[in-house]
Amino acid sequence: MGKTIKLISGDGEMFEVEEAVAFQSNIIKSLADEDNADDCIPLPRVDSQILSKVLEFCRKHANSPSVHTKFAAIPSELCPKHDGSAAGASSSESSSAHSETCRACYDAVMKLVQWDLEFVKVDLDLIHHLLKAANYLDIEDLMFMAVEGAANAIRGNNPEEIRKLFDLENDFTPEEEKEILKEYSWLDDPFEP
Amino acid sequence: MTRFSLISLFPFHRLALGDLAVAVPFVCKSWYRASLDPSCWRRLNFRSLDFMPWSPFSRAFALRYHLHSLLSFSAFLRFALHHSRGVIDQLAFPLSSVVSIHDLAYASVKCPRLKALALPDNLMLEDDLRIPELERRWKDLEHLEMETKPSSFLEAVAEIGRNCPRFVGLKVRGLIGREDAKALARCLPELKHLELSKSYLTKDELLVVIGGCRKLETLTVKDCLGFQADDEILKLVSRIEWFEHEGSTLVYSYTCSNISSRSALQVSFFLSTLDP
Repeated sequence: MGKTIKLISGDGEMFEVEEAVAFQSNIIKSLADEDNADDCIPLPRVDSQILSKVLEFCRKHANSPSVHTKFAAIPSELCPKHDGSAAGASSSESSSAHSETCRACYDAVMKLVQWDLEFVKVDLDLIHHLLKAANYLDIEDLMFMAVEGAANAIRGNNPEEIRKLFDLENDFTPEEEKEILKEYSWLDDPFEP
Repeated sequence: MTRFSLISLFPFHRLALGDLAVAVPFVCKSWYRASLDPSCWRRLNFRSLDFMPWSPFSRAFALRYHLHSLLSFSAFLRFALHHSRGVIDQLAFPLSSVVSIHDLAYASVKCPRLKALALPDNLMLEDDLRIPELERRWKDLEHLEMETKPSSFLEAVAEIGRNCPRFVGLKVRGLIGREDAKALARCLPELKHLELSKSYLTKDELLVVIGGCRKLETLTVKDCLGFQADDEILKLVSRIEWFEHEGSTLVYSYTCSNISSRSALQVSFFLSTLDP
């Protein structure tokens, strides 16, 4: 193992992970940069069950480019085909040009996306906790995928089912619902000027 | 405290068009307000929905909005464009016959800043001819997809060359003849992405295109009829990063290759490569 970071969850459990894994989180990265003799970073707002899920995600993404926030921004140094031998500056423009056209990068990204989609096929409670953890720890890719998972949870559902899923109350009065429908009465005759 | 009371974290902008239209606004008042945010309506993939009047989606929409008649595509198009308030990046028309030239014309007026467009398929011949005129309005266009080559193809390509300085990607399928290839080479020399899969295309035309479009980064000519990628072609395309020609043959054979399935996150090759 290379250099490791020790993380302490809200319920006191210690996780030791490689830097590359932990530094997926911009918050952990900036905390570790400060002078910390113990190399022990407390994360009071994330409990062990969630943290272990988060670290599972980070482990998978540790040696991959950020695939979701900027689909095309894979620096050529990380390209499996070129394995670090690509010359030229890795300005964002040349990176995006590279990954849009490099088949190896494209395939690697698609594989990772498939894994991520499976990762977020979990119950809504867990999605909610992952979303909060990703936001708190500032992990862009996890944020993106948790969001995707939440959106998938409501796909094809009607309002009543969605309310049940998210513990929401229907706070519309019948009059208010009527008002909304009145706003769209033009749908019956969309070509009226 | 409810789950997702952190409403700013909830992915309204990632929701499918159908959910956004039919379910989300009626969950509760804060979700209704969130569904009105134009940013949720910036990328309209109408291909994700079935617009036949008796489809589950059409019926659900008509029921939800208390329509007195069946839902038409035109009505839903206006519904979606109304929500987007004119700020649309991507628009993919459905491939079925529900789209009329009036819908296209309406979109050309309401979405002047469109970046990626996938045209409908089954336009009548006389409507086909109006495509170039409509393209004049989309000056910010970067990508265009045409499921079948329209009869107005030459004029359409010329119009793009004249009007769309940022244009980089084209997808079209059909019989790519000499004049078509010359038009691509002459009018779109800055083209970066070209997808001509499942077309009729001979080596001559391919060479004309490669010779004229010298900025090509991707060239996809899979399952075409009329050429086979020989050494001369492979040498000329070596400067192109991504060249796909699987399945292309000189003569029709009964074993056709399958195009591998795309990830659920991708609408199409072009529509996904734009930044969010």
